[in-house]
Amino acid sequence: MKYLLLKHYRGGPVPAVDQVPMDRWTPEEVDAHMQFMHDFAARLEETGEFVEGQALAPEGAFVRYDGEGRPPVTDGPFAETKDLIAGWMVVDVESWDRAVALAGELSAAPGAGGEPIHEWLEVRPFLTESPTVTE
Amino acid sequence: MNESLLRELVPAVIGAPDLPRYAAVTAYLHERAGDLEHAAELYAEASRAATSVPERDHLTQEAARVRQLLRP
Repeated sequence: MKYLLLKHYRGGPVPAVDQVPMDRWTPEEVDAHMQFMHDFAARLEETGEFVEGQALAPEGAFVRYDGEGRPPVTDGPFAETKDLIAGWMVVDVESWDRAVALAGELSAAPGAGGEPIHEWLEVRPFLTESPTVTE
Repeated sequence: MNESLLRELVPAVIGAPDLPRYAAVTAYLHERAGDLEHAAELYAEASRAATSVPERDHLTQEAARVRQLLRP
């Protein structure tokens, strides 16, 4: 079953710990974090649970149709007070519990002071295109 | 660092001052000039404007490296 693990620049529940910006960590802490992320994805590729991952720029716009013959309306940049998605990982796993366990592991990525960041990750099931058939 | 000289120099070197490269080059020049606090902020700003993960990661590491130089 496929699940989306969403990382947010901002928004989501109240952070469990202060999120120090990465540029203020030591170089060793930055390297450790990046190594952790790389290793996490590599482990999931080995188990076959990794589907894909993407990082998103913090900029962009909301766009909507504005009527016939009119150009689309854009609304941007994104408001500082609103939720903003930073990126995602798609996993294909046996159960919701496994998706939750993986998100919990990813949320333990080391940050400032080498401590786990306890980051909130949003987990969403994909809607399947057709009903699953159990044998 | 002479700001108006910088504003002239950077576009001459890299063409149109699109943000990621402008901020990264400016950060480098500030670091060379010994203005480490400003350089670290500019590397961090450049990392937020990066258009690829490797570019973003590199600029984040540069910001952390320069900030480390500021610590006793």
